[in-house]
Amino acid sequence: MVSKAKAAKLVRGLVDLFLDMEAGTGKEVELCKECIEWAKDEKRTFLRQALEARLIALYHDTKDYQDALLLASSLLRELKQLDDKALLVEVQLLESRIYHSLSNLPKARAALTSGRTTANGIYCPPKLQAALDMQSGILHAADERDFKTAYSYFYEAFEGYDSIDNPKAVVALKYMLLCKIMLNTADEVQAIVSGKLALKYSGPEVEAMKSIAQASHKRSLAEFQKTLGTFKAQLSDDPIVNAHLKTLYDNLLEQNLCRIIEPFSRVQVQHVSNLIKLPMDQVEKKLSQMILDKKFHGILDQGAGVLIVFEETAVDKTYENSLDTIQNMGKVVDALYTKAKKLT
Amino acid sequence: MPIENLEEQGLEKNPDFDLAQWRFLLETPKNKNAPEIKKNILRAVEANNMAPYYEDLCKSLSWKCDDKLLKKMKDVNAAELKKLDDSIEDAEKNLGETEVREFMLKKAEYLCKIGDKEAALSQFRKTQEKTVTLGYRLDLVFHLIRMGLFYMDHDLINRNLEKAQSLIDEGGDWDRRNRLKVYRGIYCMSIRDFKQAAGLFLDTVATFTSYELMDYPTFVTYTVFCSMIALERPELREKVVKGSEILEVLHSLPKIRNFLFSLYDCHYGEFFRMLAQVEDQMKYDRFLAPHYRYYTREMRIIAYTQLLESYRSLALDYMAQAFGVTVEFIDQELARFIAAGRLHCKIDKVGGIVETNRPDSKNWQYQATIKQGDILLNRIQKLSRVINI
Repeated sequence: MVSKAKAAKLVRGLVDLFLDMEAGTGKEVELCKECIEWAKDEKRTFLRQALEARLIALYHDTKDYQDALLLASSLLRELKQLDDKALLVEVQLLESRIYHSLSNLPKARAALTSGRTTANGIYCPPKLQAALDMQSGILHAADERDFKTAYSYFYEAFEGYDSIDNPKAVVALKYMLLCKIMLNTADEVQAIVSGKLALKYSGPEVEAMKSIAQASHKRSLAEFQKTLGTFKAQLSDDPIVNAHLKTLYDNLLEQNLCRIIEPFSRVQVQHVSNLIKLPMDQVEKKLSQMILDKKFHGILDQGAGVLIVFEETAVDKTYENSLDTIQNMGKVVDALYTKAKKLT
Repeated sequence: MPIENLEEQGLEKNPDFDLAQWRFLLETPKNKNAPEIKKNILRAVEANNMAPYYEDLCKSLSWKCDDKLLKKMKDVNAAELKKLDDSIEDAEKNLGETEVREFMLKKAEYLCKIGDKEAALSQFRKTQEKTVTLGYRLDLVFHLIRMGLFYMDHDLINRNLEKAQSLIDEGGDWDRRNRLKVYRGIYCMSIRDFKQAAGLFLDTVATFTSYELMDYPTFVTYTVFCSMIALERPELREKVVKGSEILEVLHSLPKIRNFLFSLYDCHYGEFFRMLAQVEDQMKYDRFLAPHYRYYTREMRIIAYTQLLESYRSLALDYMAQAFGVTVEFIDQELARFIAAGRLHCKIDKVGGIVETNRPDSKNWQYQATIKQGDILLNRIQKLSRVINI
């Protein structure tokens, strides 16, 4: 018969091994829940808390965000009382990831800040520190579009993972290159890739980023699309990279369209689509959206299949002012009316 | 930050709006005899011994009244009321004003809980005379507004909204201020004032605690509906599409999410499909059912306007294809709306083209200046006549 402490250690080790395999059998959530129940019965609090942390990570992977958040909030309260800083940092990092997946960026940032503050008070193992840096980078790149800061965070994460030879280092490198591309300094990508540190990570991920950098440098949309097709697994399947590349593609398309339309005052949509080498209905849809968002002044005439570009007319303030004056006069007349009524 | 479970800060569910929603569903022809809804209502009625409400239900839905059940509930009600009356008398004789007020409040809440509208209203009025503190008076008014919303009694709601507003202006705290905004928003939505409702809802999205009215996803759904019909595109983007709380909840409401984004991203075919689904949902919602036709018509106009805005002329075929409908349907729709003056375009059926003729901004300003100048001159003339007397 095994003692309780040994049993707890065994259970913990087994669950960790099973989950690290990431076999995706669908039974992980049940397994975790069973072990948590057992831990509750046996009153192994620390084991239960560690298991609950892993369960939260599982919920995040299975996109069960509501359950994850509920469990996280109750676990955080307990951990704060016990002041178990190590586990607290992990759970706060998980919380930040969940809020990021739910697109609630302010709360994600708040969770990450509290995680960092807690981590500052303890010795943080390099893996956890690198994970924190990675998440900071992701959040900075997300809505703030602050790619410079994101790049430095990703660099820290990369060094961290590299020092413990964790496979996540490749992902950090990929995000670093992504930041450089989004900053429009795609030539630096080449410099980084041939640097000493990155050489041992060359592989499909790095290749994908390199060809994206080239496409963006040449401002060629066709190459961009081709790369997205070739390297689908590395690019489209990674939600963060996918989101940024979509924005990049949109920006590139809009810039190209604006550049092409500039010399014209009236141009056939067919001609524009030939110049940009994209199918006509896509070009037309994009143009109509740009007009709607007021990105340029113009109008489409589908009957003749042309795009008409307007000159930037100086807004004539005279009419606006006269309308305002008339309204104010109206108010004056009202006031005088009431005063006159009082006198009579 | 862990999620705060704000449900504890919500008030008690009295009167229970679920009952009102179920009753409404039973009154629609589709769900008239749906057994689960009937079971739910009866279970709630029995649990709270709501004798007067039960009588009311049977009369309006023409059910057979179960006399034994009714008598049992009436007995329980009578016993409870007697107990409360005794405690009020006792408090009047022996204890202080505060206790009297508390017991009167309990009696009023009990009357409201069993669904006896008139008695509850009169008891609330009596309690109001005894209550002095601003906070408690506001709570009473909120209770009355809730009852008004439960029975859809517009007069009651209006009067109490005014009273609540004046009390808040005297010095209400933020919690009650936000709560009043939610109540007012619900009322505006139920009388088709979507613009005001959208503004009020968006203000209170971050601080919603009124779980006694509805749960959070339903609230976000109402917010999205009102904002889509009332807000312009740039505001819609800022407040709704980029609003982090709304985005978070939309992850669990895929239908509403697709509805919002299909309009924003100009995927008109999908938008029409989603609109049909949303219309279905609205038909069975207590607050929105009277307005679903208006809403779908307005949303269609918004979609057409958005598409036509970037075109001077476009082919009917293209339009029909974009919306995923037949050319005849588009023709009919456009004809109706153009004749009503809601769309600024003309159909060229021979060439199969729709031409927009948006009034040029300068022209419109000129017309407006002339018109308003005329009105102003008339009023100055009237004024001069009055003064010269």
